[in-house]
Amino acid sequence: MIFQRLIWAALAAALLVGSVQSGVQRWQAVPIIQAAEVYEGQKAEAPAAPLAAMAHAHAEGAAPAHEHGTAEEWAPTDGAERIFWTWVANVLYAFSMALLVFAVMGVCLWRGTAMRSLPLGLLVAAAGWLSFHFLPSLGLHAEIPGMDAARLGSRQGWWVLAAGSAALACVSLAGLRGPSRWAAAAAWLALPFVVGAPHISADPLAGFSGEAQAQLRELGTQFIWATTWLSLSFWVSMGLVCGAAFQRWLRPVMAATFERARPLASAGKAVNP
Amino acid sequence: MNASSASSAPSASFSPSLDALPASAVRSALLQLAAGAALGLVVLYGVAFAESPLAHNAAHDVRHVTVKPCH
Repeated sequence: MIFQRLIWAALAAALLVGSVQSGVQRWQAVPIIQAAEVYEGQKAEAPAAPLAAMAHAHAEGAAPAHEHGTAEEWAPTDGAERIFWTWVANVLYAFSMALLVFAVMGVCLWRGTAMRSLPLGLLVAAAGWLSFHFLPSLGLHAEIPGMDAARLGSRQGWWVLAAGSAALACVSLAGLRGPSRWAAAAAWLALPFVVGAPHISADPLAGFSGEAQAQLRELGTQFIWATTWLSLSFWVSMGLVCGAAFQRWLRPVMAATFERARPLASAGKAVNP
Repeated sequence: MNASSASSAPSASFSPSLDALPASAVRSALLQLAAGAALGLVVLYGVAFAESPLAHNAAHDVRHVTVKPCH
């Protein structure tokens, strides 16, 4: 049963990659998020934003920077609880990505790839990085808590468009033949930027003043770099671990299924050249 | 497909109807891959996009770090 193997292999890969990623995040990114949350808390307590800027931001349909915490909703308390839920989310995120990576690797195997599992895993992971990190992040930069931004739904919609377009660009490169595949890939990569990512025209940090704004701007730049390195480490480890897991648990079963169908066709060719 | 190639296929020695087996096995394998990918997308939605405050607050730091639109 391939599905069962997919689930277990993805879970194993996710536990490994998600746990390592949680550790690296804790060291590289969480301090930036928590530093920004201190300023965000001050903003929530004393919304002393310049009135004109706020009115402008609202006219553009800006969402209030942070809605949770003020309402009576459950949120993990800082410390062990928050670390635990972040680990759970990391593992689930890695699980979802591992399932997609395995599915793409399986399709490559079906199409008759001769690549070994590890390079194939790394190649699919590179496509994953392009689709799920790089292209969407070009339009919607990494945000730290406290920033104003366009309406959540429109940003999520654009993110899905960017990720889907990048994935279709990769499919075009892998699936089409001849020079037209480059044109198709370029067109897909350009599409989300022709549509345009949703942004507010006001400064995302207009709600802060003086020192806090300067600090948050610095934190924001640090966070963009931190998320860039973290995405690279995530996808490189994803490629390595999924490549190894695919080789160990999935490739033998899938290859047997696909090969069994192939001899009929290839034997015919061999006898009747 | 001629007779010599059919006899070289492993399933052909049993029954001609088994020729259909590899094709349906391939179809089943591809469907299972698609089901895995669909499950992956559902989990991705829950972790990174679901608007439920519970999902958002639990996965808050991961949404920020993986550069998903968050609040």
